[in-house]
Amino acid sequence: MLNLTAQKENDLLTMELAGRLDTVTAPDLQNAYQEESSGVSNVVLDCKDLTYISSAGLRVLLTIRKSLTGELRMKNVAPTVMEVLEITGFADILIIE
Amino acid sequence: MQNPFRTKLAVNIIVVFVLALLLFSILTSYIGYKEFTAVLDDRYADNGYRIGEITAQIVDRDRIDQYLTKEGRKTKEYKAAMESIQKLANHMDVTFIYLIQPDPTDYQHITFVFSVMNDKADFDHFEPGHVRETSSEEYAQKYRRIMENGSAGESVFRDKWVSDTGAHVTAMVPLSNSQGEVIGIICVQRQMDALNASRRRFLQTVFLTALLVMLLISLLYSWILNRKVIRPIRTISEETVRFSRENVLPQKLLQEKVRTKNEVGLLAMHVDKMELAILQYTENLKTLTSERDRIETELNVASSIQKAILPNVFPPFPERDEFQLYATMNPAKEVGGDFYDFFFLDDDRLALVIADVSGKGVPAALFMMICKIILKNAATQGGTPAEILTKVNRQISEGNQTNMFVTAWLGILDVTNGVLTTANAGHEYPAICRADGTFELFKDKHGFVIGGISGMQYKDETLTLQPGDTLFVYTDGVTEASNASEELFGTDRMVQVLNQSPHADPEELLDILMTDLRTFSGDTEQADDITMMALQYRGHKNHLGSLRLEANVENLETVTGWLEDRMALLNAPAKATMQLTLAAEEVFVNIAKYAYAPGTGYVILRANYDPEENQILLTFLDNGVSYDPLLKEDPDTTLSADEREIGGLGIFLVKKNTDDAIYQRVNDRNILTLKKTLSKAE
Repeated sequence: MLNLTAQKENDLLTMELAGRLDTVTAPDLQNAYQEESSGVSNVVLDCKDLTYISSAGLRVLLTIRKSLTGELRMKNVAPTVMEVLEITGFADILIIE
Repeated sequence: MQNPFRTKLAVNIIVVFVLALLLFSILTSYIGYKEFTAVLDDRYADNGYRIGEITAQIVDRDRIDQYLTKEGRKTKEYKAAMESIQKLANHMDVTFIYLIQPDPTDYQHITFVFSVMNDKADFDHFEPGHVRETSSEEYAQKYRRIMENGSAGESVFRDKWVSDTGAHVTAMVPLSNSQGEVIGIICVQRQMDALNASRRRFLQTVFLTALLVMLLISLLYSWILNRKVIRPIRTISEETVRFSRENVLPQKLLQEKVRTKNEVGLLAMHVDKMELAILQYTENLKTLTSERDRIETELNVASSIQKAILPNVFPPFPERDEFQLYATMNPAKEVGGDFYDFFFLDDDRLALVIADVSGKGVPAALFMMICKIILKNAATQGGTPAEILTKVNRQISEGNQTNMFVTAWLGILDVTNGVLTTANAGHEYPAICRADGTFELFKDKHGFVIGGISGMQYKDETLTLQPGDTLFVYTDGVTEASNASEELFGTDRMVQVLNQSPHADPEELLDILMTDLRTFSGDTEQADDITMMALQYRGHKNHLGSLRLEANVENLETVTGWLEDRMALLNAPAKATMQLTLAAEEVFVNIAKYAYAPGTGYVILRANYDPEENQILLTFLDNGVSYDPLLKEDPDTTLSADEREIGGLGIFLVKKNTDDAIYQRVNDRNILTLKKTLSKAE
């Protein structure tokens, strides 16, 4: 399960992720981003209630990152998720607050 | 090259034949000559006797003494007598007519009284009173015979080489006086030169004629011999040489070439027949040999097929640690009628089958194939062993025209609790060894053999295997193996051997029993298929459960939910749970996306706990394409966002979030086991 909320402000898109970002839910994030992506150059993902991320989630994150002219920031990342980001080197290519 | 057979049969035969003819003609010539000569001799002698007798009439027999005196010879009578004798000699063509008086003491000397010579002869004649030695002993004997023994006539033949007067006969007759006393011998000598010449001519003629006839006969004979025997034999000989070289029938049969009606013709006919028979025999032999090769090859293939159709990879379920299983089948011939089988009916229930088809060899093997398939089919459709056997019996009995049957033992083991349900269709009692005891026969209720009578019912028996218990099933090839003294191996001995090492693992156990069986049988030929299967139950305490579901991404939540439940059972730390769940997701999604693409299939998850290592073991099994994910190269995590490729992180995450990952490919299955230690430096 993944709960998503999205809020667009000029070229900044802020999304709140709650639950699991896995193979089943990753397409949801992908779709939500696609809907809002026009004119967006920076994205902030609030991961306060994100408990889990798998390679499918990472895949979406990388897709978003590559499509942006600006930055992809993640904030409030839980340690378990953080560990995955660190293992995979994503901690270095995304901005983690 | 020297031909050891250079002596020709024709030459041999002709030489013998000619020699025989030569001997024959010599013999006939000789006999003819002898007969001819004897007759002529007699004639000459007879003629001489008569002349002698006539002479005796002419002479004055009482005045012989006066013939020896000059006065006596001057008488008219004497002269007349001599003249008559002279005429007689001339007329009768005798050379000499003379009268002698032999010396009666030893007849070695004779005294001529008178001698008259043919006018044409030019021999000297002896004056009266001339005494000379007797020419030979033969003369002496004959003189004696005439003078003393009263012989009326004797004759002596002298050939020209013993006589200086040529070949002649001297006929001798006695001259008696009026008192009947023999007073002298009148000899008539007649030349035989002409006679001998005609005799020679006769001999020459006869011999030459015989020689000519012999030559003609020889020529004719060799012609016939050559035509009827030699040439046909040579033809036959050449044909046999040709046949031995070419090994095919001739263009023209010997019977057509050799048309003689004698034994050689018969030989030719028989050689023809023999060649035909040899060719047929060779052909048969070839067919037989190739037929035998073909059957042998087919049997070998059949044997491989049969071996392949019996599960023969051990351990058969490497992901299972609830039990150990081992089985063997040694057919008496290339293929056998025994079989064993084992397969999971679902995640927890293992079906075990051992069966023995009546008979052995190919018929049994064919029947065995049918039985194995029907049995497995029936078992997978569900039901208790008794119900399954009932169903199988019905199917096999229907239309079982060969009256073959099969004894079978079927057990279904719930590996989670060791409960074993069995049904027995006339098969040997299984032997069970309890963990703390010894092997004993489990005397379950026997039903009737399968395939005998349709509609038979079978009964289920239930027992529970405790961890460490061993189940041993077998066919009668084990118990009825015999040795040279025709003793049977027997159930008692089998149990005894099993109990020598009751806690050996199944493979070891079967090996021990097989070795003992071979030692027992020695050189005695294996009479029946020998089949054995052993299962050691290990218990289920570390098994956390299993899950079988379609390999579909939509089932991911079921998988993660199931896994989190297993982890909760172990009170696993949240982080370990999360990490293993992450790894599980990656593996499952991988299988779901690629293993069966573009189709679909199932995946089995099995969770076990290893208390010694405090590890959870999560195993994924799928029947998809062979793929070892662990061989995938790790991504470079140091690259920038733009350089990095999207994807390729799943397997990397699996490795990073587990303590160990093992991939196996067994029985066309991908088996991936993930190990996660639960209390790792928390």
